[in-house]
Amino acid sequence: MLEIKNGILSGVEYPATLADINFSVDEGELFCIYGTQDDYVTALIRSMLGLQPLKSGYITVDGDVIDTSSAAYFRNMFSYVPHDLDMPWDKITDVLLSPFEKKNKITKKMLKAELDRFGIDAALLDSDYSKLQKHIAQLILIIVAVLSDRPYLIIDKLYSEIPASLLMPYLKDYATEKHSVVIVSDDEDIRRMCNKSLILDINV
Amino acid sequence: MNVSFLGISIVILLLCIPAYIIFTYKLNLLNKFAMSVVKMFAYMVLTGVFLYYISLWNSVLINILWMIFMAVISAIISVSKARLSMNKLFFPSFVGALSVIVIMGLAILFAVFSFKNMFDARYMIPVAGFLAGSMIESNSKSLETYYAGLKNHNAIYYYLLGNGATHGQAVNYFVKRALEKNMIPMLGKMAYILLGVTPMVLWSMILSGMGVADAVFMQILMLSAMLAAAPVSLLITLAVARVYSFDAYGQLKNMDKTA
Repeated sequence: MLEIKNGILSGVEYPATLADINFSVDEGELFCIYGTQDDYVTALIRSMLGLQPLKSGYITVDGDVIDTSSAAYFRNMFSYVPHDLDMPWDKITDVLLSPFEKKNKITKKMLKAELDRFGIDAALLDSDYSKLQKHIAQLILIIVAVLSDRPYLIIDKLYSEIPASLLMPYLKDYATEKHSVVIVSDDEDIRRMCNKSLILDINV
Repeated sequence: MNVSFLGISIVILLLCIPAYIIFTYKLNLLNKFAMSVVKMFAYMVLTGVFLYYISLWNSVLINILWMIFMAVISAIISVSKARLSMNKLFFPSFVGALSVIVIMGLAILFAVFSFKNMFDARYMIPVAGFLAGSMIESNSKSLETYYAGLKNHNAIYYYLLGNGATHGQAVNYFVKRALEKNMIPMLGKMAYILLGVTPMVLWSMILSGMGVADAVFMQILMLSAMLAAAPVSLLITLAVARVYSFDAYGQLKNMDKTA
């Protein structure tokens, strides 16, 4: 279980009226962080990944606190899909050469099979990364993350062009296989299809 | 060779030629020219004074202190030219420069002059100066590239870290770019060095009594050391700089000059 208790984010302006962040994501659940402000969302995602501290409060994974000494260990339990996709890759398949440890070796063939499920032309895997549409790149990274088969999947701000009706059943299937999924989105449909949600918006 | 009045007159005459051309053609270069002549004289006079006393004393301890001084100068100029924080990067840059000057410098001296003469000021001082000088420009450019990349294009860094990569794996792309930036100018300048500088150095060595074969070997050795010095120094600098550049969570600190 991934849990944040009494969390106040660091590195962002914090209005006194905004309540502490409290939520937990259990195994098999899809959790939506419904937010429109990128700096808040980035701060929360980076805190969950142990890449920046909370100003106060704490984050735990299965009861163990994520701090400077444990963050690197816990990150091996996470798959992370960013929103900022300014990557120095020639092709999207360069992601398969990424050095982080993978339990399962992901091949291009496996990626092609998954893309078929979304009705996306597998030829895109061989196109220039710089010419690839951002939402397609993010979708492919989500597929890579799912194939990585780690206990927690964190998706930073989903591109709105990715159809919820296709993605959410895919993620639901994944969650039911003893995984937890956290997805950041400002799409009401996505929020509705998740088991739980958190509204992270100072204007709400 | 003695410095004569005639020799000094010829130097002045030679300097008058570009000054005359600049003046006649009204080139907008007079200030730059004057500045570079002043810099050259100041640098040569200071170097001459230092070398005179260091050669006079010829003490191993002073020679080693000279090596350290060269590393300090190299580190200060590299960090300052890269417009990065001196507080955070002076020490890593100094360690990088000193390691290369000491280890590579002593290896060269040992290879050429054997253990007997390797600590002699006549040999040790120019080798230290040559190595320190060859690193400055490459290291300043590559440090600038490394930190600018991490500051402005850090998506890959956070993506890799967030997926469990180690710090070394996450910064690998930026190290690679910094190394390219480090080595390309040196490789590009090689033709200029071979045609513009090497004949002068070779001539000086032969003039001071060294055999042609020894002088050529020494040149090859120095050029090889020059190619190796900057990237090795950069890798050491970046390894040491990690503690000063990233916080405990792996986030890049403010590395700007003012930080």
